[in-house]
Amino acid sequence: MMINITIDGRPVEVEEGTTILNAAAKAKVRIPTLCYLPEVQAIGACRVCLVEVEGNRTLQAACVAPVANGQVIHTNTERVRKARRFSVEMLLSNHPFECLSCAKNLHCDLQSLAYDLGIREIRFSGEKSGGRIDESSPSIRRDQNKCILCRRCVTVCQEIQSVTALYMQGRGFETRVEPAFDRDINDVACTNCGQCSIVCPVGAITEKEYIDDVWAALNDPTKFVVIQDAPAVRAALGEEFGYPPGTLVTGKMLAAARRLGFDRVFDTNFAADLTILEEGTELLTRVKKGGVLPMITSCSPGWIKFIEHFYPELLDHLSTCKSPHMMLGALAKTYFAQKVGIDPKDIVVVSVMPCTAKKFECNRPEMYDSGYKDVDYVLTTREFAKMIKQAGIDFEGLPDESYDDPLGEYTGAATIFGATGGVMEAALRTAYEVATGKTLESVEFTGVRGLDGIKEATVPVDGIGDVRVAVAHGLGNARKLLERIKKGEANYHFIEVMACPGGCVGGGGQPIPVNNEIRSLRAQALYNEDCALTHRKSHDNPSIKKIYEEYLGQPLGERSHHLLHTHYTPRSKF
Amino acid sequence: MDRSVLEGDPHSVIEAMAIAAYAIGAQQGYVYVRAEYPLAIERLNWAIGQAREYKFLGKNILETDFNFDLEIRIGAGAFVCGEETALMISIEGKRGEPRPRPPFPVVKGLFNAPTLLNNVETYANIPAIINNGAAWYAQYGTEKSKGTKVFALAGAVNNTGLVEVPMGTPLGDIVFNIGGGIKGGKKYKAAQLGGPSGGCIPIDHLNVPVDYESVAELGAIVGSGGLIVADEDTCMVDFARFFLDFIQHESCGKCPPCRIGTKRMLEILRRITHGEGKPEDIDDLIELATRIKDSALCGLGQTAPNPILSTLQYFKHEYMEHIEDKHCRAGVCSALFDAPCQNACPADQNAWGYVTLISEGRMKEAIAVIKESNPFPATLGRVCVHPCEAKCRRAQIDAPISICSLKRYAADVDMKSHPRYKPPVEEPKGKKVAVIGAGPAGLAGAYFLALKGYGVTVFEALPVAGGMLAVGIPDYRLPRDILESEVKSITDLGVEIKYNMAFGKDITAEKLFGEGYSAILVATGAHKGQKLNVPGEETPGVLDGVTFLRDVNLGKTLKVEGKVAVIGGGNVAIDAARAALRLGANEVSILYRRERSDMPAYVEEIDEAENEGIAIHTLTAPLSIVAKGGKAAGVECSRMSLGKFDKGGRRTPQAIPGSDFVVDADMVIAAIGQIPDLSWMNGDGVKADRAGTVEVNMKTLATGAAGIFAAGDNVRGPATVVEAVGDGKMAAMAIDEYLGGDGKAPNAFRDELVNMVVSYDEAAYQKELGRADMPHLPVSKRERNFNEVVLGYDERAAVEEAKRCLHCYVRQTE
Repeated sequence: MMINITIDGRPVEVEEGTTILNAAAKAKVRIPTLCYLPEVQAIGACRVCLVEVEGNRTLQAACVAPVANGQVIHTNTERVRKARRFSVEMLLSNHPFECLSCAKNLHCDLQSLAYDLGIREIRFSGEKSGGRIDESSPSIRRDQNKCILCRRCVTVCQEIQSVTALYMQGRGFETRVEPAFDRDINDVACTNCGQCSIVCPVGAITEKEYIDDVWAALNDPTKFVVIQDAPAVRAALGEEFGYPPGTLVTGKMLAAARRLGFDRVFDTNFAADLTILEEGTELLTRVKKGGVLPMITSCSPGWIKFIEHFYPELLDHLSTCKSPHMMLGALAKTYFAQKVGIDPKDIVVVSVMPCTAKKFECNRPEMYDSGYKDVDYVLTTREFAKMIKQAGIDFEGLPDESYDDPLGEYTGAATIFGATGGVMEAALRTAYEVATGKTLESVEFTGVRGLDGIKEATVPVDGIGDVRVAVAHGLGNARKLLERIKKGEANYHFIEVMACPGGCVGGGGQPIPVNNEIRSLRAQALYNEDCALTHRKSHDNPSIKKIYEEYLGQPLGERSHHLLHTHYTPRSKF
Repeated sequence: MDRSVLEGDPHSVIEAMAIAAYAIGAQQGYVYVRAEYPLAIERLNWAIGQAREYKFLGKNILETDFNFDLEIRIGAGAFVCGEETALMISIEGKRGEPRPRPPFPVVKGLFNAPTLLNNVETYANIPAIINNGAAWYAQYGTEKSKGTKVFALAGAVNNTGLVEVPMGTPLGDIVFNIGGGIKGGKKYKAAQLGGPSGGCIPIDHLNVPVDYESVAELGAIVGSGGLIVADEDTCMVDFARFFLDFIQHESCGKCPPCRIGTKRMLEILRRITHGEGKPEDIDDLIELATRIKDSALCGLGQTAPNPILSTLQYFKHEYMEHIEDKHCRAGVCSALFDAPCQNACPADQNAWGYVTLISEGRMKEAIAVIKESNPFPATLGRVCVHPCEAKCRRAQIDAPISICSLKRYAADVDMKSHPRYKPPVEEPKGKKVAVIGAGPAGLAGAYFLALKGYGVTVFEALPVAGGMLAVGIPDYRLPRDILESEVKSITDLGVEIKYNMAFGKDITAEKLFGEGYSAILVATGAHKGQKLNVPGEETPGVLDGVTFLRDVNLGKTLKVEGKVAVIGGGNVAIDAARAALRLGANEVSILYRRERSDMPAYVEEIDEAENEGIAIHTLTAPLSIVAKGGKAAGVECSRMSLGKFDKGGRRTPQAIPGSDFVVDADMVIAAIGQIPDLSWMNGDGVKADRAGTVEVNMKTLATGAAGIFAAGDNVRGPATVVEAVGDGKMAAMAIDEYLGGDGKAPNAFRDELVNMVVSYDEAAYQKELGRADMPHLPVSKRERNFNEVVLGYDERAAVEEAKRCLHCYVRQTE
């Protein structure tokens, strides 16, 4: 039902139940917010979105207060301005003024809010609640001195990801966001998904930076430094340089990598195609030989750690395939090293990923199959952008360049790995043709695309019958599927799980902000590239054919098994 | 109080919840109890079990199709869980934190279901209301606040505990009738209503009817019914700090205004109570409080500033004292002083210092410490009201140290020694100061000016020195030779006293300045008795107390005959009565319009008066003087009853109609107060204020006229000797500063004393032992003479008494 309200003297007609914040947006009135984050959290905690509603004794938090018919709302009174400023002043009085050296300098919500509210002096000062810097995790860094207790991280971790590695601890001024019993984040069931670092409005949670390590490798003349990037990176990196979300900047990104001094520029997509061959074969084998079904994808290291912590009894459902960048790392230090005649000990593999969990993944003891650390460093999209900025590269002015052989060629199937449902779609394209020997009429399985939390599809495959698949993104959705598996209610052959909402395009290492609109735009960029490519099925990738001929033999063969597959480690929930 | 209902009558709550559930159609009820109340939980559990057994709970209650059951949810006892949304969230098993409303619980509450949420006390009233009807319940209380309310009466009252009173009961009735008044006869200061986020109600509002509206009007809340009484020993700044500290720790931490704002306020309060306050702190506190009230998420945050706003509303002067004077009148904020005894002394006497020295037998040093801030130790050792003892920490173990008597001992020892102690005098400054009045204020001023190196001349209207000490206090309390000896110790410093020089008549300010005096200290006292304002007051035989005592002390009145009636309850009244008795009166009675505990005279003096046979008629006020043959023959009196509380916290006496009676008296002494005689004022510069005293800056005692200062009773109205001495000292330092000096009072011993190693017996120190009493002259030996009644300590008694000192000036060093 539509109702009529008045905002700042102007009549507005809105749907009943709309929040004042959204109603105001409709009236073209911008109410500042801080703890509010659409799709994640509306709790009215930060008191920045306060407005005055006639007849109400107290000021109302616009992000949660629903409008009522005939309501008269004022968003810009003296009382409102003072109250909003006060909350921010209080936060500032408890904030370390390290803005200039903060990882979030100029990308900080608190900073811009203080500017917008016209705060020109810190009127109140006193003890700072302080807190520790938790560097325990290889993926994220938590500087509790900077935390403003907006709770976005807590909510995203608990309600979106169903992990609850972080929660509110203590009371009063000692209130803090910490893992249970103030343990290190690396000592609790954190999946390293990094969604907390995406939603953190300040510099309290950021990715653990390895920029200096990579610079050191690049500066070392004895090192041969190889870079690879995941598909989701090219669909988002441009945002760091002012391009609208959904702009593919592949060519400029590669040019930038070369200017940074990388010796070879490879594509994780190549390994994604490889993954499809390996994983597809694994699936067909399980189906034919009665292996553990449903089989679940294993490309998302946040997801892997999640199932290891919370559902170790279901680990057999996981595909044994390594994630694509780990496969590429292993091949770079074996196949490629042999091919170019470089001692693998001198090769440094750097992965640019949309992901913070991959920083953890590359340090797993299982990931030394090349005889060396298969991937040396993982940089997030954000870190890579920082390196480009540090190097003074005029990104916009760069020419478009392309990937290096032999690990640079890819298909459309690989590139859609970056969006939720992409791995499933790529696998179906190959599995169908491999299983049936027929050519797919249409390669697009749109039923597994999009941002619905859990997507299902059934694909009739000659000789096998109906192949039932499901796709989940976001660990909360993954949990729902796993519960169904536990109860025997998941009658699927194959499930794709991505830890992050939207898949890798919404990964924890991606440019900030991330929301559903941006996720869709980035995904669309990948689907567009898929359409534009000649080869859209992984098994059609000539380089893949070549590597099997030259080096790997066949999918699930001995060398594949050694270099491209892995095993998992049950972990505790606590 | 909810706990006691659950413990005492859990059935009432169960019945009420079943009725409420029936009314709204609920199927499940929860009782949220703190885990710290195991007995309440146990008994409620029993009661629920019994109710189920009798089918008052469960399925098909009373064989109807109504189903309702109760579950106890044990909470962790967070204060914020008293907020309804936090309480529900806690019942749901989550961290107890409030959420914004709407949605309100009645729409969307516990587990997202519509929820009726009330406290235990409210429910407990329901069965009685259902049984007896609404009219029955409404007969209690006021128009808008119906029924009764349970208060948890705590703090400085004699009777603490839970009290249930009809709404609208005057606060004073709860404190003084039900609560039995303030412990130890101390003075009421304020009542904190409504728990930590409530507000305080000061002494001038004791008549407030305790109901929701009236209390809210004064800035407090009825809230959960907490009623904490604070007395004069409560520092209101510290009081606010205490509550805020609690609130800050109980803040859930969700919103910045409460989480950080209360911390910032607390930091300011800590600063102020540690003597580091700045004048702008008050504005900052108000700004913080106003913003927090306006922007915090829940009731806890919105009311968190109340203790501050409320104490600032009524006790801003205490804040200012902490900030500007670094003084805590209650003796609580220990960072502001060495020891509470010294802090309480208007003359800033280092009591702990000389008590400690006496305990070590170092009497000469003790008198040196005393004389740093007091030229009248032998006098004050006898007549001081000793506010120091009221704050003595030893009272928490047994009884306060007899600080006053110890001073007397040290002073008496000095008086008998040759040579007597003479304080060090600064180099002569070559400037002259005139002091008007040789009372305690004037002479103290003269003394300190002399110590500062000024040439001082004192002009006294009477033929004797000492002011009220000489002509007000009778010899049996303060022997004349003692006073004379102390006056001499002042003149020995070079101070000259000129007698029979009345200010405004024999000498004027203009003349004094003309004679080269650089400054004038006016300390003319308050020597004018107040009129009774009753018919027949002019009848011969009726006189005022100060006149009577002056005549007695100057030897003009040597004999009193017949019956004497003294009207009043102050020290002048008691002194006049006891003096009259000593001069031969047959019968002396004191007529006082309030109760004995209201009498402003020293309790010891009242006791002694009674011991000597003086009758005290309380609740008795004069209506007229009965004359016979042109002479006073009696006082027609009315019995009084005590009505409403006045601004000072005392109940106002009112005549009981038809209760008139006559007290026979040949002499009627009216001793109901004194006022300063300001007839010397000539209209330029020095002005009188509305109270009929000299208008001064209370921090410097400077009058409106350049170079003229005023001190003592003519500034304060009739006050104590030690206040007069303190004033004299303050004025002297202000004059010194005015004349270009440093204005610093002598303080040579403090640092050494603080670090003095004392030998004391730890066991004796801890043991309860009463204070040593001084011997008194037997009543039989007091007849018809003015011999001193209270006899001093001997050395052993003095040292033993001094050893009781807890040395609370010693600070734990880190």
